[in-house]
Amino acid sequence: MKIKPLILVPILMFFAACEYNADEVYYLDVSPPDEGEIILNLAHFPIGATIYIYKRTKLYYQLTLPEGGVVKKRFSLDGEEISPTNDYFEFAPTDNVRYTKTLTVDIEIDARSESIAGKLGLENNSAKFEYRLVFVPNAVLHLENIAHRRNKDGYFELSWNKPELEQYTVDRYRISYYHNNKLHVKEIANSYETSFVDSMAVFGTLYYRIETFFKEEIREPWVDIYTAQIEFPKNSLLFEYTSVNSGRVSWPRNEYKCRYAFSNGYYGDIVYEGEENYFDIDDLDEFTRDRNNLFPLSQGVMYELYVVPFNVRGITKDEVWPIHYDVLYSPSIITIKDGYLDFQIFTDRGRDMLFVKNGNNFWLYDRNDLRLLEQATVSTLTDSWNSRAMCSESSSKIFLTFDEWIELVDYDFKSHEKMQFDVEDRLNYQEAFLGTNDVVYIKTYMDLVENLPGGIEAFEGKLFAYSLDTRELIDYLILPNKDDHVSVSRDGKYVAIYSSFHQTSEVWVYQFDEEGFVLTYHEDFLKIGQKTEPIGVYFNEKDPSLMIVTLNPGAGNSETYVVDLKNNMRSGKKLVSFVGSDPYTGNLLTAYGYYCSVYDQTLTDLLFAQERTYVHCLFNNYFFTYAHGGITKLYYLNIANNIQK
Amino acid sequence: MRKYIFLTIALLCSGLLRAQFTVSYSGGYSSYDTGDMSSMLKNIQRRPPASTVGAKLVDNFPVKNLTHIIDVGYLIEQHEFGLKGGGYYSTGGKLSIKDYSGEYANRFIVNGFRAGVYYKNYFFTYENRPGRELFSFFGEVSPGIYLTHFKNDGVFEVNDKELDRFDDTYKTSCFSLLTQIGTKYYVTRNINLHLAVGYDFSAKAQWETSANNSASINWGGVRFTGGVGFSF
Repeated sequence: MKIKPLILVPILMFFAACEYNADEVYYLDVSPPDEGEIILNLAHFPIGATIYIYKRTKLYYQLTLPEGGVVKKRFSLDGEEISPTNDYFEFAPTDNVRYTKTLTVDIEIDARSESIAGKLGLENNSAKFEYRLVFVPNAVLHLENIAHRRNKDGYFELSWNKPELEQYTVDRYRISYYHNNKLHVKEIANSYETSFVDSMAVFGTLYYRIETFFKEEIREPWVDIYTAQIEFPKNSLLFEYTSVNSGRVSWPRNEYKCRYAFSNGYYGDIVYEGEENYFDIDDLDEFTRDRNNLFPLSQGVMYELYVVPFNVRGITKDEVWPIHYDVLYSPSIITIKDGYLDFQIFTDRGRDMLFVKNGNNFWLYDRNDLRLLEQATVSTLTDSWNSRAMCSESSSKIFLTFDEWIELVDYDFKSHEKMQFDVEDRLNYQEAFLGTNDVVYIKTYMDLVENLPGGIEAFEGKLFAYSLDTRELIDYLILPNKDDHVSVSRDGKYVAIYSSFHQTSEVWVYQFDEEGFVLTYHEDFLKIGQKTEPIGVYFNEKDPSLMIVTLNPGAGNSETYVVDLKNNMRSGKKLVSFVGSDPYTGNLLTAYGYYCSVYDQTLTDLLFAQERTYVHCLFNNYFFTYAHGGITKLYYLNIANNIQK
Repeated sequence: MRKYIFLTIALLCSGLLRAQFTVSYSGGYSSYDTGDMSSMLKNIQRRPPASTVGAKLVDNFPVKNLTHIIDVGYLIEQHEFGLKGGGYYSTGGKLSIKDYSGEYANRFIVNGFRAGVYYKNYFFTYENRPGRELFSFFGEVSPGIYLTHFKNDGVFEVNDKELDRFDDTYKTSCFSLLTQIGTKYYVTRNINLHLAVGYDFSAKAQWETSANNSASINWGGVRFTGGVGFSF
């Protein structure tokens, strides 16, 4: 039994020893490849960054690759392969809502390694870059809330909101603007500084180009244009009297700290330079020499008001500073475009109401401060150029006379009526008057009543007196002369009938009361030669017993005097022509050529006199005049402080 | 116990029949064909992953011509028959490459062992005067089978990561017929030296694991052996 292992073991060892047992190894002596780095610079964003896309945006990239062949270079957006153009991607939001996508750049470079791993591609240099793209449509890519204001130092300050969009990191602002024809550029490097003080910006059209530069290279600079218009409204140059021969030209104080210069028109000189928004004219005669009317001062001449930075001295017309061009007028109470000139001014003295009528437009003012109380258009009112307006103070109606009829308008302008009198025939009248006693005087046209020998025709007219309340005839007067004119006092108690004949002129003054007309005054005026010289007879609006007579009104030899009907006293004659009387002060407004004078109601004391001033009427020490130069305006000027006490 | 009884009977019979047990060892030259294995290895080399990594043939089934054979037989008159063990053949091939990053190895080892029976006919024997056999010539026929053992092991490692590792074996057998003639010189009555030459006809030992990875080896070839024998 022992022999078996003794035989088998040597045999097996013999066989085993003979088994092929070569086990050579082919060792490849190569070195590992250099570790090459793949670098992707996508618009300088770090790997894995979130990139916000607000509009069509180019994302430039630089790909730095190690030596070797490109095995894979794949760009994908949310897995979908995309192809960049040359060296940039271009993305844009395509929807109206915010959404996110992943940009993947997958790169693999063959390291050309001879090793086993290299041959299998396991030593390739590869990299995968991912970025999160957030698409934000409809973003506002401009500075917001650009505005200007006056800072505490009085200078122009431009401000805006700092951009708060993601990855719009402000690097700096650049503001470009012009002053005096020179370009100024201001760079603001502090992104938190969102305001800019331009001490040179004071007036005119201000133009700012604000460029906002961002730290992210993919962001194009924002360019915002901001313009501001700092200006005075038209008719901002105002003139006012400071004494009889002195005045002041003023304008609104500019919002920003500045200096002013005033020039007498394009060809004129700069007559004022300073910080105040006015300058005084010490000698109006001298200032207005060779010029047009002083009130309302200029007639279309454009004055120049330079509004310049506060530190500018020695303003000359050669420079390009902002200018306010304007005419120099007194304040305008009413401006009517495309209207016609038919201003009627009348007052209800008891209620301190001052009415202005132009066509069928009405304005109601407080007579003390000319504060507008109401404005209305009575569209149903008869259109006429020749109406006259008065107040029926007891019935609170506006009395309007037209050719052949009368209309009454309520003070609230809501209703009006055509007035009818208690007459059988149609009332054919030439003029109508209303007294504050509500008596309506109707002057008829002259009728031919008789052909006298020698071809002389005899005319006769009538002056009816009706009650406004009852519309019934109270009394009437025969107007025997063809050229008879009528004047009625404000209170309706005096009626003057006057006419001019070849040799004489006459005036008859009747007093009217419940009994009718009573002749109280008569005067003849001798004429010089055969020349017909007209007269004008008026009653003082404040004191109706004071009758004003002007001989040759409007002529160069006009003479005016005042008759006190109560005392039958006459004032001395003044070489002026009566224009009107102030219903509140009784002062008489007169004119003589280019001179305007204001006298007391007895024509004794000269209260105001100014050359080259034309005034249409005087109410409560307010001069009123109007002009029509394309735009109809009613100017006013308060002379209360200039009336000599 | 039965083994001892059988052995006793065999010895008695041998004595009665003037028979002898023989044991001989032969070593010598042999040839066999490894061309198919070599082709297979080259095919593997041409295909990935060997082709990818550039594996080299470090061994390609060399033929080892040395063979060992042991005969255990029974000699009666001029007839000898018995068991024939051998030869034993072993060859191999290998694809290999290795570097710092990894290793690829694919090694094949093929072992073939012939087992069979034999019949020798001593058709001429020269005896000297005392009648002692001096030498004789013989012809031999030996049918047998080749027990073939294929081994295939390998590894594929890259960057310390084992991509593949295999260790396969396959056993097969094939029929063979060895024919040879030889001469035997009797050094003593019981010890002889012998030489033989012949050819071993063998079917191919085939290993098929797949259509692309099949191989075979043909153990057949020329045999020229010489050795020593002992009879008792």
